[in-house]
Amino acid sequence: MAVGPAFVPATGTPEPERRRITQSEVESELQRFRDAVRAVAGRLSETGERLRASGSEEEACIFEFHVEMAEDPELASAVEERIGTLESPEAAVLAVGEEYAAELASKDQYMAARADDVRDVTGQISAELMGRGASAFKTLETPSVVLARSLAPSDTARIKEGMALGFVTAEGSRTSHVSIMARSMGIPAVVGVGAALEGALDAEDVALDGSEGYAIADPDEDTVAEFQKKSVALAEERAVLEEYRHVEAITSEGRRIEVAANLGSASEAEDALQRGAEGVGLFRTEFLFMERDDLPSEDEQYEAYSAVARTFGEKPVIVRTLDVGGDKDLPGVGQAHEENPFLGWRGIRMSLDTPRLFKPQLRAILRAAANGHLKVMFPMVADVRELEAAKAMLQECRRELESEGKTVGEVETGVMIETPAAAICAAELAKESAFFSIGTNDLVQYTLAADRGNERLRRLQNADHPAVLALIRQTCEAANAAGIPVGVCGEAAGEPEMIPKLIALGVTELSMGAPSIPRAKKVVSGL
Amino acid sequence: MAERETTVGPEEGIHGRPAAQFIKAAKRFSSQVVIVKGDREVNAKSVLKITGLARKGEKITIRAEGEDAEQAVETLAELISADEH
Repeated sequence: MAVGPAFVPATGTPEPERRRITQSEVESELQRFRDAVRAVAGRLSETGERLRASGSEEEACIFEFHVEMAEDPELASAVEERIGTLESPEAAVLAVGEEYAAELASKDQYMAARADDVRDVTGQISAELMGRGASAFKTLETPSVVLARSLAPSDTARIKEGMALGFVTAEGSRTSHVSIMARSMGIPAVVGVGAALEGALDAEDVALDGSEGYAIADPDEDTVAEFQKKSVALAEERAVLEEYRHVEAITSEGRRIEVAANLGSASEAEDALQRGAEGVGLFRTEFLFMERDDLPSEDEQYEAYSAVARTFGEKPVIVRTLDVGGDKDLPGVGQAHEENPFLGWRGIRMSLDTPRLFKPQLRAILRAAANGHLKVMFPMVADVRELEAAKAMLQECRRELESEGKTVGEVETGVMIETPAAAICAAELAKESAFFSIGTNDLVQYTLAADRGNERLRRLQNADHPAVLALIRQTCEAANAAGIPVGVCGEAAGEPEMIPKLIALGVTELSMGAPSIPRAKKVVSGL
Repeated sequence: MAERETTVGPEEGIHGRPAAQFIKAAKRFSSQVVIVKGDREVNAKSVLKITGLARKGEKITIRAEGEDAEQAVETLAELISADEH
């Protein structure tokens, strides 16, 4: 959230003047060149450090690479040689940069991107020499919202501290440089607005909401007041959350609650860890099976599970076996069209009936467990027979792997409590489980007979219902009596108003989308 | 003078992050260090020269001249042959 005057940077790279220097100026021009290199390298490395501190390791490395280019000894000697022949340093550095860029661009696609890096860096040195060190942002001297077609990392790095209140760009996406830079600077950005930007370039003031992704040109007084209020509240909240990110969540009674992340793919692991996840309470494996015409191999699954296991090290990662039904076609599995896929052949029901689907997944999990702390969890369990059958298959896979001489790790097995039947049979299931995790989203849907996707049933899509709470209580009592941990991995686990209720019912672990983790820790700490 | 032949490890060859880390390491040695590939010989302390010089699996030679030449070739050869940085 931000509101402030609009700033539109001048476009185009400044052309160096065609000036020659005199012999008596060579010494001082050499010095000017060296000072410019130092200034640019210093600015780049400062930006890199800021990015690293904010957790954007990959972007930080780009800047490190740029620092090395700015300080390159071969670049320096080529430029200095040209200065010796009375060429101006600002023209010389561009010319040398262009030589290197052209050479790289001629190699391949990878190197063509590096050519742009060279031009970016030498362009910065040249601009610094022309006294335009702050480039197009030199005139940005009051805190403003920056509007531009696109912004390069070096552009954003040149903005004076505190002068950018936010960015609005026509190009870019959530993952582009400008978004990452904005996050590292702690300012909002609305990127990829396209042609809509043209209409806003004449605006005097701009209000923007980065999380909702919209900007308003010349907002009225009420809007400005509302944005300012929200932006203050947001800044306060962010500061508090930053403080709680890496603390342990302990209630005033001294109960330690583990706060973990739900992952939808292996690539989300690093981010979750950064946000303070103490483990993974639900690692969905469906992503491996989506958008493809064949089944993922055991090795492919092994790699994905191992990657997350390694990222989390000793911290526990609960891998949920495949939970798809009639809503997703799997090749060679023999699904039929179903009237009610959510009440159909899915989850553990399908897995148990289809060893060619289930066994490679179990084998991959057992092997990957050697690389970290993995647990396995079965979805859609309705009675203890299913759990016993699944565990038997896991044992069979373990024996097979051992006889093949493969390395396997220890894996605890648990049940996802998401059918009312499982909650009601919790005491019996607890005897055969090392842990429970309550999937509140489906438990609500099945308990209240209310389709998760039906807009008209909003009132019944809430875990805060006496029937659901009674089942959660029953599950927790069974788990506590058996001495096993019980988590919640549905949306309720991350809702500040639900967290106190879940903990009062006996829940010992909360697992949620990574962005909710600091807030959840704060809520627990305040109990 | 010391030299060592090695094989490039990083998936994308020498550029970006591996290149920056290599350069940082190279600059810690006072010796003159060069990378030789085929008939090309480049300053190992220049990121512009080493970028794109070799791809994964290609053979290069690291050669150094100076007080810490032995140590330089050993450290740098190991660094460039590792597949992760």
